[in-house]
Amino acid sequence: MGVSRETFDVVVVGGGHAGVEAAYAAARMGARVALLTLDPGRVGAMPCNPAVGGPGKSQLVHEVQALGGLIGRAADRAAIHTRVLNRSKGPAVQSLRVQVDRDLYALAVQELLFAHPGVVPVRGEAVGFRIENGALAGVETADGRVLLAPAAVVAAGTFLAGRVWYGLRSRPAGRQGEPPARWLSRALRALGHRLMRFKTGTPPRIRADTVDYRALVEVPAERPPESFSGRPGPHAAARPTWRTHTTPRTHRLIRENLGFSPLYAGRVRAVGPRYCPSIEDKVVRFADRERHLLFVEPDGLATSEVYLQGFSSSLPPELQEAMVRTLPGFERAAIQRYAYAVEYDAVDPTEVDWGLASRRLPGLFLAGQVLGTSGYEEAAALGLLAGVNAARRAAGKAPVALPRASSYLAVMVDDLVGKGVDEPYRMMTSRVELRLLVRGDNADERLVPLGVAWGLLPPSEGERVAAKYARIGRELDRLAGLRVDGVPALLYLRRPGTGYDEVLARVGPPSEPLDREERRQVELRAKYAGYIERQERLRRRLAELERHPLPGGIDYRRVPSLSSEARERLARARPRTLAEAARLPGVRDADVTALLVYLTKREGRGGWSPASRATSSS
Amino acid sequence: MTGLSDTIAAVATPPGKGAIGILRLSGPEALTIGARVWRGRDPRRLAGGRFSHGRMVDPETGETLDEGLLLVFRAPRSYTGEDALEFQLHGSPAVLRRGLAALTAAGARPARPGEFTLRAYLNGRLDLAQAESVLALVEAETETARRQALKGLGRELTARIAAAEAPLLDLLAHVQATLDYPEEGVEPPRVEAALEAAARELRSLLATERAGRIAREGARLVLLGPPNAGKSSLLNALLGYPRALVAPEPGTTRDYLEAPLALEGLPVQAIDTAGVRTSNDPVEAAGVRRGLELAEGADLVLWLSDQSRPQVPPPAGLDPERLLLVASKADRPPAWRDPRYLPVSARTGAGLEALKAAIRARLLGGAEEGEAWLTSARQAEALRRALGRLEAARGAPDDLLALELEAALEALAEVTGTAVAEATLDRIFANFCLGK
Repeated sequence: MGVSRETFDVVVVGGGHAGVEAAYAAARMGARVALLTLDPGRVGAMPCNPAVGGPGKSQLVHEVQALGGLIGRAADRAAIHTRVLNRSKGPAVQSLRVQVDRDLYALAVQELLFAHPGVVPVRGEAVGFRIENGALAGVETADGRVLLAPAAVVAAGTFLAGRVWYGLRSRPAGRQGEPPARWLSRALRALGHRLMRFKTGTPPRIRADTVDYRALVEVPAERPPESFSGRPGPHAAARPTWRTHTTPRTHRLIRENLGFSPLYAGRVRAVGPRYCPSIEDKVVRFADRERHLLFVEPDGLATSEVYLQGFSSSLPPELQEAMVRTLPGFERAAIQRYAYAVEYDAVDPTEVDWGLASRRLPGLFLAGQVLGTSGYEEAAALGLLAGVNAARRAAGKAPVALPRASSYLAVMVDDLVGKGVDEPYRMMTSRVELRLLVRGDNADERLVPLGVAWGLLPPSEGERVAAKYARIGRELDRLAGLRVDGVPALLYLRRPGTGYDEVLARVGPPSEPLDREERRQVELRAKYAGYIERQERLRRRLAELERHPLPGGIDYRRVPSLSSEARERLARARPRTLAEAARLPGVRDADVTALLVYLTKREGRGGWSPASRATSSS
Repeated sequence: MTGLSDTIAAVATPPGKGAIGILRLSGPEALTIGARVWRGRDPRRLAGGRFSHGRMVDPETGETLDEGLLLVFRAPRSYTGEDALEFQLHGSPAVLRRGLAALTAAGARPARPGEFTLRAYLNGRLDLAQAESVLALVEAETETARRQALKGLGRELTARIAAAEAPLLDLLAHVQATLDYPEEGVEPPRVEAALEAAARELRSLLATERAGRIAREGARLVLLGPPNAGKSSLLNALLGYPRALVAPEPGTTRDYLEAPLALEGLPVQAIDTAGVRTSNDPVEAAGVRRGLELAEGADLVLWLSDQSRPQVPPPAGLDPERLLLVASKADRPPAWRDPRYLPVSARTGAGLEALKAAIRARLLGGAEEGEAWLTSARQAEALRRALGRLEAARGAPDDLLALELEAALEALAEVTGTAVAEATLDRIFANFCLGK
């Protein structure tokens, strides 16, 4: 039977990290989902480095994991090397990075995703939208089909009008060897969305058997391996990674040939991320550096390539071979796939609201790199949120959004939607003000209740997590009543170098035994209690403003005493709460005051309860 | 960020000297904070509309700041609709200033312009007609405060705060680079050096707080000494015209009198007091007590001892930091010599210029003239908060270090308006070669 007449609840365009999370989330909420992709066999592909996590990003993976998503589970299954970063630098920044086998990763994603009966893979290229009564009614494909649905998530990655550059030669492509999405960006622009031109790049892949590993610095895998899901995969400590570095010869070669770079020759004007510079950029911008560190990452257990992280380039293939051979350990290296730069259209993220819904076409949601981000983890987290809201729209429910203080995901959405971007957005711990409250290790506490409420997770998961944190709380209460050497046990535990195990040896174990993760939580919460309390106070203060909704229909021209800049910003961004309004650039304290006064006057007396008392504490 | 759950405090009476000065405290923690600074009946146990006679104290040292009345208002029956306290103290700017400092040290935040009125409005304590005028008021107050702040915030002061911000922003960027890019071989930052450089700048700026306030509000100078030490004569000499009644017999000045005095553009309120001695005359005795009380609230006390008669040391309990010793009647044959005393003759004018210079120097402290001075209590409070965060940052693990630096920079940003997050990100990528 022809797909052309089929009706879905949600259509997801794109099978990358954003698309698969969107489809999986919507399906778990009961939606029937079409996953429209150019090649279903490429679903879950990793076009960049074969690793998941790292500072800022691993927190996002933990959050997606808490909400039942795919990326953490797939990474664990496909892991060949894990590493805990910032272990000694404190819980706010500790993070996990997992190197994966590229093929096993895609396989894991496809297995998990397509095992869900609600997900239907559809091969094809989205070219436009079917619109009825001013709202999205379906997605049209290049071969003339229409996938009817009241909601769609566009997660097209770098495929929108994608163009790949090898030196000064370029051709239209979404990723290496794959065709771009030619029509979709035109359709989005026709609806009024502002588009931006971004670029990114990849390094060359080297034939694994041509590398002299003895000349490299080995980075051993974590033993025992760590995981996002609590269940490390069978090969999680199977491979080391390595480091090498550039040499003065590399730098000279690059400097002499800059004219062959499409960026330095002025052919590509798209904006690339500062945190993902090409090797040309590094050599030019940090001219006094004698060497730059490079990371050599195996592509998998049985694959024949290694990934040369830190060496992304848009110089011509002829040169790349010579450049690579200036690196220690790569004197006889052969390139299997050349480095390239890709430029693509991205939608200005201020074109969506805090629920990731397009402001131009009701029913259309956007997520991932197409929304101006960079990275698998960012894409996955946005995809999940877009999928949730698409499914809710299909079910006739109001969209959900997260207060900024809730998660890395919410910080990212708030940054994107409130401030916009001028380079691809990367998650970093430094962007998260309340990062001592919002940690990778408590993502389940923060988000599982929401996941249950949204229908992403079964109630039993909510009960499990509630019981876990109740046990932790009871143990902290118990310690508060005990003494070690005359010192309250909690204070004793706060001393530098003192661990929970040592305290346990002195005061005896609790009546209900705690597992490893729970013991870690007890120690962390005791040690950082003062700071956590301070951030908790800040969170409560922010939460007050979250409680003041700004009705969608406010005509900001009619709110007295707003500055003209604030009027313009508010009218464009249409924040949903006073908190979102307060964070918009150009909206000052006086403007927030004016809004508060306007709101109370508009709502009249009685319905409004003073926020100050709701949060009063001793 | 406008926070409505904070407890806020402010001086509620107009600036300058009045008989009574009122400090107002409002918010969910008003009663608790009040209990920390009040020695009298515990405000937490007082019903709304009741008052307590007692002392306001520094919550850290326990030192008495002033005596007065504490009025308790319970939510919602207060001006703001929240729990609120009013401290009715003596109307001295110095007392009120220290009282406000005590309240902030005990957990309150200085109120922003119009904030009490705003809360009153939001909590339904003002009707709709009044509400219309609230915003205009808030705006006007904000605008005045902003203009004042801008006026005070000359290029130089901004530059000095920026000089403290710069090493902190660099350090924060450096720490963040190591945290967000742990494997890229970023050299560890030199934390101590940067913290100390910033703290030194902040401390030196805070040292100008008093000078800035005195230049703005004027100083209170109290003349104190035994009867007939020549206090009134010296006042007249400083004024350049007779203001005080002088007579050869001791005890001529029985209460006190004040006269405005300009010392090279520095506004000074000079206060002549009754002589310090045990007196049988009840009126005079009260005057003596009053003189000692006045000395408590003064920015500087001149202690006069007649050089032609046996030396009289100043009474114990006067703050040596705020004391300037004068050997009066220096035109007569001296009965004693003491290098700590500045010889002055009101009759011949000898030593008068040196005295004026000494008063000026003592009032302005170490603050160099022509350099930028802090011009508002708010600025000083923000700087002190920043300094506190820098102290906490010492020796903290990296993630907490970064948070403390952010908090310090945000406090400074309240004065300068630097957007911390963006400035840091820019520095990370400008200074470090990062990214895979």
